[in-house]
Amino acid sequence: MCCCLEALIDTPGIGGAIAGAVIVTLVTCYGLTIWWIAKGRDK
Amino acid sequence: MKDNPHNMVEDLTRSITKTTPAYYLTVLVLGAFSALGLTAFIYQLAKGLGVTGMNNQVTWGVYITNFVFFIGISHAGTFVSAILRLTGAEWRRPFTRSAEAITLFSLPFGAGAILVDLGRFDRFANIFVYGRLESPLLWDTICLSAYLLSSTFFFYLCLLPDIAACRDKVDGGTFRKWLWTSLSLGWHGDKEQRRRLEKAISIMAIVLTLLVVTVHTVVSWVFSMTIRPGWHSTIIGPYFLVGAVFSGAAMLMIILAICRKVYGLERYLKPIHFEKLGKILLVMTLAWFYMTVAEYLTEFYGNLTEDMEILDLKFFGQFSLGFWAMVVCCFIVPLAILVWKKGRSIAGCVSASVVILIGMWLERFLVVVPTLAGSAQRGHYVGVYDPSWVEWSIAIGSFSAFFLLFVLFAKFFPIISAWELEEGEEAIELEVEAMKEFLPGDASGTES
Repeated sequence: MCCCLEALIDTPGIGGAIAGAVIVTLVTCYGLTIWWIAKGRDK
Repeated sequence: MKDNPHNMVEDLTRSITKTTPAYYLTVLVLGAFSALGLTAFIYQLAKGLGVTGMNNQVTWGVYITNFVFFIGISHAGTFVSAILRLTGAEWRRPFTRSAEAITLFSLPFGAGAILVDLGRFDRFANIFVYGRLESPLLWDTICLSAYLLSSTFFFYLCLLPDIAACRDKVDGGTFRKWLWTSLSLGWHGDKEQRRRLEKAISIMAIVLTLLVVTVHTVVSWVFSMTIRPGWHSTIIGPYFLVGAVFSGAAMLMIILAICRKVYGLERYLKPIHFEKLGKILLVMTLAWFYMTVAEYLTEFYGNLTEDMEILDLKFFGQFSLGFWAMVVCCFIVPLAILVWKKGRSIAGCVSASVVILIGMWLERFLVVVPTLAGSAQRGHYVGVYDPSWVEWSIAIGSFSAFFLLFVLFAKFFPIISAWELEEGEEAIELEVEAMKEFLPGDASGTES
């Protein structure tokens, strides 16, 4: 395995960072989608 | 004949507007059992995990069984609402809301079972601080978080038009009016809003289908990525997935029958719906049996000492009663009932579903405990697991709270999706036209 990947895997808190990134991304996407739907108006 | 939309809204909001003494009694009973579970949990927090039947050998028991079971039944919503939507199964319309609610309400108890099992749930933060990328527990945390968020979002999207209908047409009192107004986000149902909503729902149906396969596979990998006998199996991912659809459909059947009876929804939840769900249960019974035979036959043929000890514990030893009860409940009884058309009546389907849920809980227990009890990893003695009153109380409390959430939900929102039924009625002519495409006739535009 390349040393960069090993270094990444061994980084403290990398698990939490990825989990946090997934959660934040989803919350942002879903929030924006709700806003987009609510703003819909017939032209 | 088209239903008068007002009557449909009136029928479907009866659970909101009318409260009977039976409702209060139900809330009281379920609330009491939920409180029992909470009390047991607080007792365990104070005294530590020593009050459970878990020990140095058998480190996982009823809590992890419940974790897998609740995650399994959460599949109901995704299967019915997302997968049947994607395949164009119009008969799904009356029960998508109930199925999505099962998903939403079961996931917290699934995830919560892990926290209970930890003993000190503040230690949950360690998965974020110290979690390693190679850890199936971290994959589990990420996938379950994504699944919970996505299911909540999907549920809200599908509920949105009905929230607006309640806001406009139902007299539910000050608090509920405020709740509906806040949650409806000014929904006015014009063509552009509907188009955007349909698009979002279609995309989320695909996302959720992918997520549900991922979640159940990753939950199974918590077991199979170890090299313990009975767990280290390549079939465990599909096995858990089949079990999830199986138990989810069974739970949905029970919830629908109760709602039909209690809220007078015979007009909307017809015998044909139960008959079709019954066919799905029949297919899943056969699929479950196939997976089970494939799993155990492979282990038996391998004849590895550690594997054979686990098989012996299950077939003839301390877990044999549970094992054979599982086979009866998950295969023999459901097959005997559901293989006949008359068996796929409402009563037949519900009976089979109750038996299936008992069997599937036993199956989850038999995945978790016998492998840990086996002597191979711990040096020469077979462990014993005797769940304590604390574990059973928390389990009963979890199930009670799950049903309680459902009962309370029906007091605020319609349990059948009125807008999807209206959409279904509007789509009748489109469906007839679509059918003509599949039947012999003009092939204009399709030949080269």
